[in-house]
Amino acid sequence: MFLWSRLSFLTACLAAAAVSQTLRVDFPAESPVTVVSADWGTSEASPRGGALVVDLRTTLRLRNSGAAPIRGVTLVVLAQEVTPGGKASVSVPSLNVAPGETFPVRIDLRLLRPLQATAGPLVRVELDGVLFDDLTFYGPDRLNSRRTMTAWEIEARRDRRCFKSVLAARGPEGLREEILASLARLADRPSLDVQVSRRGRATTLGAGRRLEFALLRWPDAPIEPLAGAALVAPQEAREATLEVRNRSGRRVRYFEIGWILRDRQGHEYLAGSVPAEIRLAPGEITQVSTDATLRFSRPVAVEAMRGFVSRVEFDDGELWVPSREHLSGERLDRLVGPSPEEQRLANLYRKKGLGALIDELNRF
Amino acid sequence: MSHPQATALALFAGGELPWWMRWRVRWHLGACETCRREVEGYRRAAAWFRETAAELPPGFDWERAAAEMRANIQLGLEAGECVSGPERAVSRIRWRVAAAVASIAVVVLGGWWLHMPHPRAPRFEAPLVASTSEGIQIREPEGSLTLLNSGAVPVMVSASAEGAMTARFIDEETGLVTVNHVSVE
Repeated sequence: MFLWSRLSFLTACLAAAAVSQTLRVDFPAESPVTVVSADWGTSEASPRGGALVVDLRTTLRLRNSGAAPIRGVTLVVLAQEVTPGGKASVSVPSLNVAPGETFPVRIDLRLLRPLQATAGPLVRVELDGVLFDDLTFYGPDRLNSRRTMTAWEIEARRDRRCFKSVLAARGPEGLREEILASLARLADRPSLDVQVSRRGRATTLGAGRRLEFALLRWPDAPIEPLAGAALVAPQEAREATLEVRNRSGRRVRYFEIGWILRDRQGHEYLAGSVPAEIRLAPGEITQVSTDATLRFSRPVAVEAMRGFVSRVEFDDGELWVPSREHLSGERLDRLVGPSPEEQRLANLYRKKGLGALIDELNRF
Repeated sequence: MSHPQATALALFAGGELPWWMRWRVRWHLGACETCRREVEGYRRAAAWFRETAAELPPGFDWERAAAEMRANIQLGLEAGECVSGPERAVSRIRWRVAAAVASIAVVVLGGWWLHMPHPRAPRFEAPLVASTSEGIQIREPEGSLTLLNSGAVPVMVSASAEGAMTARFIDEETGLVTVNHVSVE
């Protein structure tokens, strides 16, 4: 009993010390984004069995110290002592921050780690990239933030164009209908909780059964999916393989195929995507495969699968994303969900009404 | 699987369990990653405590502390003699009964030993990413990192077959779209 009370006291002491030495923010000296302040909010640490749970809640206020408006920022969150095989990041897309202005980035995280004390901070927050409104990029780009944020920005421009044209053609009430439809799609979006693991995780799949993809072929997509299959079982899908052809006249260095599952009741879910970093010359055909396992939170009797090209990056960094017509024509928009910008605009309407939305669309 | 109590794990970590209890806990640890981690935690905590305890305050009187401990032990022994009953001779019959019970116990324990499942080797678990009601997380044998959704609704979660997961939501505090992302190699 005495030993137990000593251990409780000890863990409480460790917990109190843990929060203060947990996080360090490191931005390059020449960064166009600088840290103005950091609010630690209700950060706390508490012992749980033989481990320590650290809840870290911080809001960083950043300043645009560059010369161009910022459209997005990505911060990488590293906890190498606890999760050496993983990386995390927090991105804020759909920004419009003029030079000299500040903006918040909230990072809420929970660490579960052994009680063992470590020297130095447990979590490091570093800048991975900043995207400006002219699509120039600054940052080390270790997490391919340039590609991701550029795709979000292209989708944002596509969606703003769409809403502006609706406003011009059908007036404020037409815009209201469009934005209400967007909110309804988001609310009705079917979700499926999954775990993703790679290399060597034990599975319950056994042999499973091989299921072919029904592939959507859009005439203007630079990549044409030719064939594909994956192993499926009631609670898992894995080992997706796809054959694609580059039908554009340009070299492709990256593409993503969206992966949709349909169960016996006819419900469809966006299970995930199959990305591929690859050098593909014009006209070339290649096969890609993944060793990842998608494990569902509940049994799903998968009856059919669909695949569609969701993103393509050319060798010069230019990106292709599907149009809204592509997505709505195949009823994919209710599965894929809105872009970050559409989500932001819909939330603006929900919070402040139609007038605020129209003002926002007229800003840029 | 039922787990030993936390006190038993703590005493095991300090080598303070009786041998049969120690054996049972060790057998359990062979198959239970959670308890093994807990024991490791106690050992690290004890090591830290020993290091801290080595730094005693200046002027600590060892002689006085030792005299107080001897007095307490003597007091305990005298109190024990006051409450103990008179010593009785052990009869030959009781020795025979004890021998018979011991023989039966050996047979029962031997049979149980031969039929019990052998401890399994710990299964290696590769790091994975997962979504929970609170956020998306990286899970590894040594711990986990969760990027929290901060209670936002709705949250759009999507997975990638490269071993990554993304959660997108509107942060109610900042009003901005926030995209959390985790990945494993």
